[in-house]
This record gives sequence, structure tokens and C-alpha cells, in this order.
Amino acid sequence: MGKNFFFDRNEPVPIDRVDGRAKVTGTATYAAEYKTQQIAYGFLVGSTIAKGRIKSLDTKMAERAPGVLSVITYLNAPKLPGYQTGKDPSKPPTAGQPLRIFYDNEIFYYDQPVALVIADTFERAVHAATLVKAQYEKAVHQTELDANLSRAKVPTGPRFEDYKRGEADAYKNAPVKIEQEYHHPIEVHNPMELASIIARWEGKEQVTVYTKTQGVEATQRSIAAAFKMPLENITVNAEHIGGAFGMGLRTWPYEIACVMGAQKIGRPLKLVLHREQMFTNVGHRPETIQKIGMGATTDGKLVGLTHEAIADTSSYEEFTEATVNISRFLYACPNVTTRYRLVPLNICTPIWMRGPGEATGAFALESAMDELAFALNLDPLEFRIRNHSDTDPERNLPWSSKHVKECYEMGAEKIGWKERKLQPRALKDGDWLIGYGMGTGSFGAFRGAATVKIKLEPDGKLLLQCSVNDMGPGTATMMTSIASNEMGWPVNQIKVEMGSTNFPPGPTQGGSTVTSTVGAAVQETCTALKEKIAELAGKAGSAFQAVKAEDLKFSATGISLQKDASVKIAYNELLTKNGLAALELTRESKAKQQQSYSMYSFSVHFVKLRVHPPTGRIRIDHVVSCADAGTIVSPKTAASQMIGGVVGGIGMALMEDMVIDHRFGRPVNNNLADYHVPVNADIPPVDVLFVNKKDPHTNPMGSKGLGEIALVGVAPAVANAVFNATGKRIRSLPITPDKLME
Amino acid sequence: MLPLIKFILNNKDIATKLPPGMVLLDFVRYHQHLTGTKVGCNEGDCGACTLLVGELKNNEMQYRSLTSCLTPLGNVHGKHVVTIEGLNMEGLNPIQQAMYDESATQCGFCTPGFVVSLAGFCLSGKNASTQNAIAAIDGNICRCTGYKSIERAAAKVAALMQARSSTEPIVFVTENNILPAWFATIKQRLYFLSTELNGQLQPTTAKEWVGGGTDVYVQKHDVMKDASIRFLFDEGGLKGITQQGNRCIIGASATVTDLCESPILQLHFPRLADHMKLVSSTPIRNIATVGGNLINASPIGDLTIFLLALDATLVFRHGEQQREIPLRQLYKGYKTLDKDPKEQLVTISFDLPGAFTLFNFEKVSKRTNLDIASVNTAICLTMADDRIQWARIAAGGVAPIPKLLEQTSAFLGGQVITETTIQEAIAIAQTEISPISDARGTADYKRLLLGQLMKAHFLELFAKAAH
Ligand SMILES: Cc1cc2nc3c(=O)[nH]c(=O)nc-3n(C[C@H](O)[C@H](O)[C@H](O)COP(=O)(O)OP(=O)(O)OC[C@H]3O[C@@H](n4cnc5c(N)ncnc54)[C@H](O)[C@@H]3O)c2cc1C
Ligand code: FES
Ligand code: FES
Repeated sequence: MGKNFFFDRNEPVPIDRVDGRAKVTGTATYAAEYKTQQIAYGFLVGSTIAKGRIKSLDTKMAERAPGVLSVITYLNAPKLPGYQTGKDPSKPPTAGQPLRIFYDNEIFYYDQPVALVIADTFERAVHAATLVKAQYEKAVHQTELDANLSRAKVPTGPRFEDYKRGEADAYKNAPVKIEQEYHHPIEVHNPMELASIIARWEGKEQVTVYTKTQGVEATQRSIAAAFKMPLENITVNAEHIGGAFGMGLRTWPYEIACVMGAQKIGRPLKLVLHREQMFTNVGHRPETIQKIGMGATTDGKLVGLTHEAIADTSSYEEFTEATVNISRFLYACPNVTTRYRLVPLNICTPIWMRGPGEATGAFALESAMDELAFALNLDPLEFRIRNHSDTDPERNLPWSSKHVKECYEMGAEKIGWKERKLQPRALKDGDWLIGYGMGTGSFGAFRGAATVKIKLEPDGKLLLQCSVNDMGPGTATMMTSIASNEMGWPVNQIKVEMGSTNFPPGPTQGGSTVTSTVGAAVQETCTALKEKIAELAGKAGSAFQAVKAEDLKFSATGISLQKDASVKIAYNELLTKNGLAALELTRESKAKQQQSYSMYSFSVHFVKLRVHPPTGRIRIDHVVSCADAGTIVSPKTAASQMIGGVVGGIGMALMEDMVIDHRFGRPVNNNLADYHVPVNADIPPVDVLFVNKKDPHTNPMGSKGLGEIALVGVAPAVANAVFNATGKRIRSLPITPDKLME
Repeated sequence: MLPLIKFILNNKDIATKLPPGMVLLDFVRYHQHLTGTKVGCNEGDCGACTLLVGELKNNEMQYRSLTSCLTPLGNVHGKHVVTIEGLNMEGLNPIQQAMYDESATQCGFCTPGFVVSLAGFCLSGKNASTQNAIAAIDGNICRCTGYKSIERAAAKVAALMQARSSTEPIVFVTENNILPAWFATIKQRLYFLSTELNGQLQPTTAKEWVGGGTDVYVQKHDVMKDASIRFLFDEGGLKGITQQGNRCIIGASATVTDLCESPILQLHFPRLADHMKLVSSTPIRNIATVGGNLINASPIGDLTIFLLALDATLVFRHGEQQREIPLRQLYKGYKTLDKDPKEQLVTISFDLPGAFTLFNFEKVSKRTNLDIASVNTAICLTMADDRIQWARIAAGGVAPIPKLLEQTSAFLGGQVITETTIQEAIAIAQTEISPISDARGTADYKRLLLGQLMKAHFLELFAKAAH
């Protein structure tokens, strides 16, 4: 088998999830489920005001309640020697001061933890929590983005300065132009698993935590920083996490509180948030108000594009994302201006949510593209093709690969785009109006650094280890798949261990980087292993004198010569001859500093839907999502990932909306009955089409990320289809029946 | 002193003195350390905690899925409780295999719930269609997979059940290695268990009454565990749906699923299944009782609206005393009832629609299912030729109480149905309602929506019937 046989051939063999068995039998263990002797249970008491100070805290009753071990508040909390500072690379790129839990009496947002009640059973902790009495000195809070636009500010740091290419706001002078405002509300990640952590101290020096994080090392660093401890004294485990979609991309105050609490009581402590607390204490997708000005020549060539976004952040940190960036490169346009502003509000700091700012930005940009196409009397697909960016206009670099036009073509064919009419309300089925829409998505194809350890046992079993964890996309499966193909081993001979700081460092699970980063590391480590085996073979017997890895055929039991299969040696013999019990090696792998290409994944989503004007009901009939994500490493998990993202996009388009009662600054629909995520019946047939062409530059496998582009561009595709069906342009998400009823 | 609660958990006999108000989920996860059952919301909304409960009915095992986060231990006394662990066999069972083969698990947190719901489908005796298999997972939320892979797995499970014909489901699934062989022993064991039980779970002094628990356990989860509770769900006199002459009599503890499966109701309400699938989700319908729906007095209770249009009569019992009251007189104001707290609802009865009676129910909610209505409405018309002789229309979500639109109903009586009559009826309805803006829509939207749903009634009953 040639070195890159598998990836060059571009037809990966679908393999099943390696963790599937544990998951379908309910034996996969999640953070809150680790068994520990003497465990105590914590429950957080949240502030009932959104801004101000704690005037008094009475914890006596709670402390006297049965089974209570401790009640921690700012009055008695152990002083942590150091909280995270802005220089910590594990932290999100936020300026400001991360919330220091139980640090002082200041309240920044509603439900901010003011006490941690610890008891010997969960029920007792919950009960005692009701006995904590807090009084507040209220200040005037601000939770409404719209009412605070005058306080909008440019985020700190050079990355967020206004961007200008060509002439500023040049769209204004174009022959055909639109100028519109788009809004989308706060969305909450709401993974099915509640945020959970167990912390267990061994003596005063060592702590082990099991937590819902997307990066065990990031959590390890945050704990180290807060407690000023050496990294090696902290073990963080997160083998399985029950979804996160971005909420596990930083260490939250509740996690620090649990480590602190466990230390205080000298017993292991478990802290699981309530669903309501998932709305207030672990971030959200910020609300945005976006303005797009866009102008074109009468024959549909973009002249100018201005994209402005204003998003919420907390009053103590600046959370930023790439909301407007997509407008700089998705289309060829000589004059582009982008402006990005933040409004600090009394709310928990946001955190990236799947397809983060890109999804928000794409909603505005791709809706606007549809609006301008309509103004030009052009098919929106044709309009996009006319403005295709053949190179990256922002960086003036060639794309490492871009197959958006193929996506347009495949998707249009599959959805039946030719049935679409330029004029809205032209297609009917009984009382229902039918419409077609599309949206494009993009996300950077990043690659980070990862170290993988590989171990070959005498019986041909391979063990791979990396600290990276898996919140669902199938990282272990991807690693197994790559190793299997690289080595020519069957998958059942390969075992992956991951999700713990006990293993060599890997990246955080996020930003669609894991396949590129860890996959490349697995591949490079396997290559190194093959070279090492060749070297050992050379030492083991004359038949293999001076062989190179490419001269050998590797099987699960041993090696033979490519040109003469009868010359062979089993691994156990090879290892024995070299005096080894097993063969172990570790490799770090990272991208070479590459500035000569611009690397992005792309997606194009097509939607066919129907609207029932008498009731405003919307039913999506069909979604076709096409992805240009380089080589598809594991087709089964990739297709699942893609559909999952599309459904996230449908949620964003049609239902997800955290409503705040601004009088009190608190959410009103903080449960899954009132905050709607899609259920099975909301989901139409979804076809996923992959271009599946190797990107020559991103990484050795030629993959690009998939997790984010699955969602980016879905919401505008839905909004555009709604317009095509009804003639109503909904610029404020979610598109609920009341907005469409006639 | 706490009663001894006995049931079978998977393959194990349980006798516990834990409080009968404790939810099954906590018992399974914290006391039995069976952590395959997950917690996602504690309010019946997500299905992560789905379990199966089996009981002997007419000498056959009847299994139903339910949300264990809302089910008190007291409601499984004498029954068989099945968790994901109880479905595990050597190797994967075919349901798990289908989920595995179809990549229907990603983060895996929702997965046990889906597997249990599908096992519930296998044990339900329902027709082995893909549609029914998919309907069985309507109470399970997955945030990762986008459901398509799970649907494919469900289709495979349905195919597996197609060979069943008339065999009792539990026999079929054990003989075909779909579920562990020991399931075959349960019937006998439950039978013996039932002979040991007596009425010790029914303290007459109880402060709290619980039907299915889907309302009380959402409203006051934390106080219920240690409350003194009277469990109505299995009380003999409260079950069953019977017919006396042309009157239908429903026991207060009949569940929504019981309604769906009642041959009497199916015969008289041809679109019953379509209407009932708009009510919550399979695991909730399996435990939500009619009595609970009426007494919780939610202004948007689906069954309440249904029964208001049918002009149902309620029978309450207080000790030896019985009292009859029309449902339309029960609601006095937001969540206030013309009822003594000590009065127990026994039956609900109404005239079954005759040949000239037309009935329809409409509901719009923000999400396709598993959602409370924004507005719901039911109509019942008795026709004499082209003329409405008698009309009753009720609407939910438009007033502090489930509302019988009396003036609108009165107006419709005697009318011939024309565009103008419908418009006038809608205009009168607008004067009777007082919706408020909330998470389910603005007041204006609800007003408009009621009008549209009234149109939908007539469209459904007349335009479509004409075809
Ligand atoms: C996820 C979810 C979705 C839901 N969706 C819907 C929906 O779509 N439509 C809808 O209408 N409802 C819905 N509900 C509400 C609820 O399920 C129903 O109202 C259900 O019928 C309540 O019945 P229960 O037996 O569970 O009530 P319980 O919670 O057991 O009881 C409710 C109240 O009624 C009292 N009560 C019960 N039986 C009697 C009796 N015989 N005599 C006197 N008092 C009695 C109880 O004491 C209690 O106060 C939903 C609930 C949940 C959790
Ligand atoms: S935990 Fe969500 S339904 Fe029970
Ligand atoms: S697999 Fe993650 S919630 Fe379903």
C-alpha cells in the first residue's frame, strides 16, 4: 500500500463509531457519573438581581440544615491566590476581568452564584440552598441591546478595528442597492447534558477533576492559574461529554467553585447545574443587530458592501467573534467596509456557539444577497456565481481549495432549484405557499498542534493516546480510521485513549480543527512508527537489511517485503529480537507556518419549504447541504455531523430565542419547554453532499473542518425560502408563525 | 411510617422504604447507580430519562414508556420497570445494533432514552410501521444528530417487528433475541407480586394527590419527595373508558394514551389519533391523566378544551358524597376551581357524537410537537340539514381559563354556514376573549390565530368533507 493510498483514492471506507457500543448500552461515563467514595453534593444559589451589591447574606439556617457540610460565599470563600489573567492562552480572547466567583459582593448579572451549598446528599443541598437569605443593594441594570446602542464600543485590540477595502461605504453610489437591518436574539447552547463537574483533592497538593470541557488542558491551565498550582498537580478528565456546542470552550466560575468547595470540605464534591442555570451561567450566542448596505451594477456585479454588527457582551469581559469577517472574502467586491461593536450588558459573558459569529454574520450577508438579487431581478444563485471570489480578496492570496461552484451545482440539482420562480408566491399547494432558498457558509480551515503517543504491542495491537476529547463528532472514530488506513490494520486492533490530561497534549475540541490537527498528528505518528519498525527490522535480521518503510507491507500481525511476501517477521519476534516489550513513540505535529494560501471550508445549503398563511405555520420539506470540506475522513460520522449542524441552523432560523424580561434582567423561558430546540418532527429529509476533494495545503490528509459550516448559512437559506414562498422578508430571527400569519 | 414499595427493576426484585414521592429517576440513578438513564431537564421535556413500565393487563404484559423524572415511585408499585441496563444483552440487542450501525449516536447523552423508547415501541404491540417506530421517539430530544440517523435506525427496528403478527409482543421479542430472555419470566413474577400487594399506598389523609404527576412534579418537584401523597393513577374506580347508552364515561385516571386506544372513542372520533398526537409526547401521554388535565386548570389544557366542546359533566366525590357539575362551570378564574380541595374527580362523561354531530380540534404551537399550544380550540356542531342546530366552541390560550365561547356558540346555533356567518362568529369570539402576550405569542397574534383556527374548523368539517 502506497503511503497516501487511502487519501489519494478519496474513497474512505466508512467505519462505525468506536465509542458507539458504550453509548447505545448506556455504559459511557459522563462527568457527573464517576464513582468516588465519600462524595458530597453542591448546589449554587444565584443572585436575584441583575446588578448591584450583596447587602447581607444569612447562611445560618442553611448551615444548620441536616447534612450540610459547608456554605461558601464571598464572606468565607478561601482566597484564591490567582484568578485567570488576560495573558493565559487557554482563555477565550476576551479582554476584561473574568468573573471571580465568591470574590466580593458585586453582582454583574442575574443568577450569578452568590453561595455554594454543600451537603451529603443532593436533595439536602437543594433544600438548604432555599434557606440561604440574601439581601441586595440594587443598581440599575441594562440587559436590552436595543436600548443601549449608544454605549456600543470598538473591542480592544487591533483585530477589531474597522476594516476597509477600497472606498468606504461605496455601496451608496451603486446603481442598484439595498440597505437593511437584521436581528437575531440570544441563543443558548443547551447541550443535552447539564454542566457537571466532580473535583477530588488528594491531600493539599493534587486535584483530579471530571468535567464538561471541550479542552482538558485549557481547564487544567485555568485551575492552575486560579489556585496557583503546578500543572502536573492537576488532572482533568473528560472522556465523554454530552454535547457542548461551544459552551465547554472555557472554564466557567462554577467549575472553579467546585474545586474550591472540594478543597474546603476535604471531600470529593459534585456540582451539577440545573437546566435553568444553563441559561444564565455558561454563556450564550450573543444577540446581534447587523446592518448591511450592498450595491451592484445593473448586470449584477457587486460594487460595495458594508457590514456592521453590534453584539452583546458582559459588563466585565469583552467577548468577540468573527461576525462581520465573512463579508470580507465570501464574494469578489472591490469596496468592503466592516465595523464591529460590543455593548456591555448585565449578562454572563457569551461564548462561541456552533458556527459562531460566522453563522450570525452569514444570516445578514446571505439574506442581503438574496434581497439584492431580488432587486436586480436575478436568480440568487446566478447572482452569487457572478460574484464568486476566485482568490481571497481580503488577504490577496489564492485559496488552498475552493469548490463552492460545485456545491452550487450539486445542491441546485438535488433540491430541484429549476422549479423555483423568481417572483414570490408563485408556487402553491392547496393553502400552502412553497418557496426555495439558499445560503452559503464558510469557516476557517485551521490546524493547531497535537501530540500523539502510539504503542505497538507484540500481538499487533495498537494503542493511540492524545488528550483531545470528543463532544460528539467522533474524534476517536476519526483517529482509529486514519490509523487503520495508514497502517493497513483492521480497526478492531486499534484502541484510542483520550480525554484526559494524562495523555499527550492535544487541541481543544472546537472551531472545526480537530480532524485537521489530531488527524494529521495520528498520520504523522503512524508514519514515524512505520519508519521505526523498518529500522528495527533492519536490526533484527539480514533479510530486512537497510529496508525503508516503503519497502514493507504492514499487516496486523507483522511485516513482509513488498516485493517478496515470503520474507516476513511477526511483531512479537521483531520486538523480542530488539529486546523490547512493546514499541512506543510520541510525535508532535503542527502546521508549518503557511502564509501563501487562504484556507477555508465552504458550505451551501438549499431549502425547500412551505408556509400556511392562515396560521403562519412553516414546514420545511427538504434540505440539501453541500460541503466543500476537503477529504472526508470518516463519511458516516461526517454525514451525521453535517445533519446535526443543519438542524442547529433550523433551530436558529425557526425557534431558538432566549427572552429576557428586561424589567428584572432575567430570562423568562429558561427551560426546554419554553426555549425550543428542534424535535424530530420539525426535521425534513436532509441530503448531505460532499465535494470530497483533497485540499493540497491544509494538512497531509487534505481535510478541512466540517462542524461549523454545517450550520453557517442554514438560517438565511430558510429566511430566503420564506421570502420566496410568501414575499415576506423576515429580518429578525426566529421566524415564528406570528410573523407570517396573514 | 413509610410504606414498602415493591416492584421489579429490570431483572431484580425491589422492596424499598424510600419515600413513595421520590421520582423514579432519582431512585434508579442515585440509589441503584444505574447511570445509563440520563437527566437533561427534570421536567419531562427532553426524554433523556425515559424508562419503560410494564404491568399485567388482562393477563398480558402491557409496556409503556414514561419520563422517570416526573414519575413517583408510588406509581410503579407492583410493576416492572426497565432501564437501558435491562435491555442490555450479550452483544448489542438489535435496537442498539441498529442505532450503532446507523451512526445514530454522537455525544451519546440522549441515546439510552432513544433506545428505551424504541424498545417501548417493540413491546407496545403497535403495528410495525416505520411511522409508528418514529412516533415512539417523539418525546426524545437530540441536540447532535439531527435525527435522520435515528430515524433510519427506527425503520430497521420496525422491520424487525414485522414478523410478529399475533404473538404477544413480549413473547416475540424474547424468542427473537430482541430483548433479554428473562423478560419472559416477568409475567409470572408480576402475578405473584400482585398477590402480595395491598392498598398500603393510599393514605386517606394525604395532602397531595397525584395522577400521572406530569403537572405536579413540574410545579413543585422539590416538595413532592417527602409529601404525603395519595396515588390516584392506579386507583381501580378511576380507570377505564366505557359506554352507557350514548354516553361515554371516562375514569379520571384514564391517560391520554388510553383515550387514543379506546375503541369507543376511535369509532366516534375518526380523527382522534391526529388530534391526540398534538398533545405532548408519547412518554407524557402514557402517564398524563384526563383528571390531571382538568384539575390543573391550565388555560391551554388540550383535553380540557376538547371536553368543553363536548359539554362534559364531571362527577366529584368527597367521602360518601357525590356531586355532578358541568365542566363549563368548573373554572372560576385563573387556576381557581369551583371545587373543594377534598373533592376527588371520579368520572367525566359526555354524549358521544351521533350521525349528525361534527367535531373538530385544532392546535397551533411553535414547535411541531412536544409543545404546549399557543392557541387551541375544539368545536362540536349538531346539524339539521344545512343548518347548525347546536354549536359549542371552546378555546384555550385566549383567556385566564379554558374558555367555552358561549356567545359565539349561541350565535352559531340556527345558522347556515356561509362565509359571512363564519366572519361574524369570529367577530363575536373576539369580544369574548382576553389573551395576554407571553412566550407563546403576543395577544394580537393569539386573537388572529383563534380566528384562523375557527376558519380551519369549518374548512375541515365542511370543505374537506365535501370532497
Ligand atoms: C413535557 C410536557 C408536555 C406537556 N404537554 C401538554 C400538552 O401538549 N397539552 C396539554 O394539555 N398538557 C400538556 N402537559 C401538561 C400535563 O401533562 C397534562 O395537563 C396532564 O394531563 C396532567 O395530568 P397528570 O395526571 O399528569 O396530572 P398530575 O400532575 O398528576 O395532577 C395535576 C393536578 O390535578 C390533580 N388531580 C389529578 N387527578 C385528580 C383527581 N382524580 N381528582 C382531583 N384532583 C386530581 C392533582 O392533585 C394535581 O393538582 C404537558 C406536560 C409536560 C410535562
Ligand atoms: S430529564 Fe428530561 S424528560 Fe426527564
Ligand atoms: S447524540 Fe448528543 S444529544 Fe443526541
